[in-house]
Amino acid sequence: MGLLPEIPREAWLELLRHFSNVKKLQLDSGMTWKLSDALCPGDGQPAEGVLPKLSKLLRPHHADFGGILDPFIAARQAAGQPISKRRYPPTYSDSESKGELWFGSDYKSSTELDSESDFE
Amino acid sequence: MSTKDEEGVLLALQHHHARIRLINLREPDLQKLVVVMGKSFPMLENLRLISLDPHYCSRLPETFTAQRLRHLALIQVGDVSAPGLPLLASITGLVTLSLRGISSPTSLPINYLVSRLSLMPLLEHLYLEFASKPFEAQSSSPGHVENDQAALQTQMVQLSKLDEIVFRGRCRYLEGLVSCIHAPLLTSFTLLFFSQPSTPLPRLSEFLTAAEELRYPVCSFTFSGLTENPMNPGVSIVIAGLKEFAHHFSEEAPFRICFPCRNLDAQVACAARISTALAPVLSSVERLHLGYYATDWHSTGTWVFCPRSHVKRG
Repeated sequence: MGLLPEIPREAWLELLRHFSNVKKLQLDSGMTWKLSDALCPGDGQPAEGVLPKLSKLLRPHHADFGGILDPFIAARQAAGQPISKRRYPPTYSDSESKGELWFGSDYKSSTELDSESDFE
Repeated sequence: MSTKDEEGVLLALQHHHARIRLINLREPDLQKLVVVMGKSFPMLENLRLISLDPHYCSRLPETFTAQRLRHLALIQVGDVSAPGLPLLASITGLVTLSLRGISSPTSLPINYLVSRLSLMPLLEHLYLEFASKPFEAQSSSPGHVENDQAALQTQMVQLSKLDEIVFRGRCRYLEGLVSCIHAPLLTSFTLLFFSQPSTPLPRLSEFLTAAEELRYPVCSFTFSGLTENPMNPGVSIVIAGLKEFAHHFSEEAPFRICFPCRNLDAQVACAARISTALAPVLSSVERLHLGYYATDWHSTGTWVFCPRSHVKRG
């Protein structure tokens, strides 16, 4: 994903600031790296005041956050707003090239799979 | 349509028009039949005139009247491309108004449209689709600006039964239109813009603030690769209930916005800009999906987009 064009952090933060009530954030793997630059830039402090009610981060069934969002999660943890990481079930598409448009057909909290080992 | 069927329809239109409740005609048959419709259809409630080929330009005679008409659909026929849409001048009380293939914003000035809508207090479904003309769509000619500015000075129309809007066209036209209508019970809103929003949309924001029924808990922003085709948008924003998302019914989502945009960085910037207008709706969202859709990166530096329909079927 390193070939994707650079997206200014301000654009992401402007986009996200309107989601004041979001509790769950689902990211396609193509988005994770770009968003991580906004939420926890390598040369700055993790974003504050963005997605203030966020409590769950969901990743694709086949992908891995790889710890890149950990600084953001740790900052929230330190602020008393813990965020858990989960994966969501496979969608209609088995291949990422066909997109990951929707939550899985059995998208309910009971189907979210704990996968802590994936994030260590 | 067979010759026998055509004769039957012609007979009905000529001699039994006083009893006809529904007319549903398509080109090329429409060309021959429309000429005998220059009379009163006192019982007509539903009129659909359709052309799949925009080169047909059949128009109803000026003497056509239908006092009880409730559902009107003009799809790419001459009446919808005629400047000023004179057919609308004699029609009131519609429940459904569907105009597809409108030639340009100047052929349907916003203040004229709003004045007609003011006579349609029962309106529940409004579909407005402009003909896609990429070069015009990208431009902002002085005439268009004047048209938009004039609209802002027209009356505010209360459409208390309006449930659904489907709009395909320029952002500026929509901005002018929603500044003139109030639809507090709107539950379905589909917007297909010809080009990316280049300016804030404050009137849209005000309109959405008043449309309090248009609140749903799940939102998806999907960014895709290189495309300038409105049918294959660069950014798709879908807001819906859990049911629509869980079952992948994107085309049934009650709130959709699509617009073409070339690069991912511009897509995010435009999405951020339009999010400001959508703030009244986004504040209710509890689950957010950020998607990256159907692109392959080639060494040539171009994106390949996999087609996907975003057009709501009327």
